[in-house]
Amino acid sequence: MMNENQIFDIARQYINHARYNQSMNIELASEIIINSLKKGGILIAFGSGHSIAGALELVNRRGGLIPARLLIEPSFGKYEVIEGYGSRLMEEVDLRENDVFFIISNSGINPLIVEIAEKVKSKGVKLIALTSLKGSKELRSNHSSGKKLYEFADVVIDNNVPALDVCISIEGIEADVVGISSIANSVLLQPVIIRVIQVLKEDGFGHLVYDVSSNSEETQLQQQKTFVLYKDRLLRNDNAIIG
Amino acid sequence: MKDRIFDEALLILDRVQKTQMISIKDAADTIAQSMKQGGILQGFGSGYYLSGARELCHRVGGLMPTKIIYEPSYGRFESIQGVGTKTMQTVDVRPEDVVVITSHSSIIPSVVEVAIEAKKQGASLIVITSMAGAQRLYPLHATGKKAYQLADVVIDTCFPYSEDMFDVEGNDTQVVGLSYYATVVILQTITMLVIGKLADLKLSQLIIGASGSKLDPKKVPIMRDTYQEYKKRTQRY
Repeated sequence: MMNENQIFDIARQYINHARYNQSMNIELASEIIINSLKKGGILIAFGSGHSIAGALELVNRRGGLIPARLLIEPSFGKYEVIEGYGSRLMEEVDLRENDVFFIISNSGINPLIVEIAEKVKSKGVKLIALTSLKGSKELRSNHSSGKKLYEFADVVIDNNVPALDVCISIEGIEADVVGISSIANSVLLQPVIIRVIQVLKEDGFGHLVYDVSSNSEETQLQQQKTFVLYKDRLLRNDNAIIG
Repeated sequence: MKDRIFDEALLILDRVQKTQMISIKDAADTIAQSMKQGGILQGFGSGYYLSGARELCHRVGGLMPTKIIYEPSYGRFESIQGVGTKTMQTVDVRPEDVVVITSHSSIIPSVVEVAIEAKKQGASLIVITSMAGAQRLYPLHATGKKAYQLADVVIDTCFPYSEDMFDVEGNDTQVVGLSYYATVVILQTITMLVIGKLADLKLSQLIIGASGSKLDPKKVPIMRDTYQEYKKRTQRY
């Protein structure tokens, strides 16, 4: 007999994991993003396949950060195992020293992820990784370098999700099923972004935040000015690669 | 601040679990019945809610007969009437299929049009939305319709209108919140229940097993054949 509440029970365990085991990493990741944005950098978020959900938690959100964008790769995960694709893709990405790059990948072992991480660090840009440390360590890298995402990162937020990102056993099905990483990741990413916004506002950088709660002319004008300032880096159609 | 987020996430789980399990089970029944009849699940979400479709479709440990309905602008033109209708003109939706829409408000024109077109094709429609917001907000589509009004099954994310956001202490602003969190918990519970039903129906070949998992090697060719059978309808592009 299936326990229909299993996902809810597992989700509660991941809230506890975030609260009690990842507070420090959440704080460190927030500090990196704050420093980058204060220096005029932007946040670029990337997740391949379903991990795009994590990247979307960080950018283009109501009440979120203005200097933030998604890196969309055109194959939507289809080429993630092909060596050379990530390196070639990154040649077309405008990455600057004050930017911060945030990669979400459960295993962190596929060539696309490894090559993006390698390129980010080769340009001296800070890298934050949201990954499963135990999962990544259990699996062998799919890249010929043998490297994995977490080895490149300045800060690793560990989602503690099983290596294959499946968590439920069901009678009659041999393999475990049901992906859990998006549930685990959501409660790890929200505190990061909210902490960033809180500090930016306290430190006089509130103009970097979409203020949806205020309709005042002054706020609207300030936000328009911020958009103009970052327009060349944020417009979604200025380049076929970044969406 | 962090503790407030975690406390809020726990409250969300309680609210959804206490009030939405019947609708979640209805959704799972609808999808399992569709797949039993050879139908596929088609996921749609605009902009940020593309994540909902990604959660349901082409996911290891999830359901194989699935497809994402891609809107080429990824939500940039979601408020323009005609975008959803035009998108759906090239999407193959059949009466035996299920379309699942995730939308916080249910009022965005492209989302409403995808719902209208799905129903025109005779497919079952499941909408996951914030009912408090959807009921309160003024419709943005000329028909006056909201996506949830067209649905066969509605699942409420239980977010009071605009309380998907957090107040930042000491500031007069609201920032990003956990509305997607409720959605993803609902979606994965649906996936789990559908898989259970498919197992009962001896249709385990419709589940995507993780490579490297304890999958019976004898079943791999059966899964490959099944994938070939569905390939034309579920391809990503």
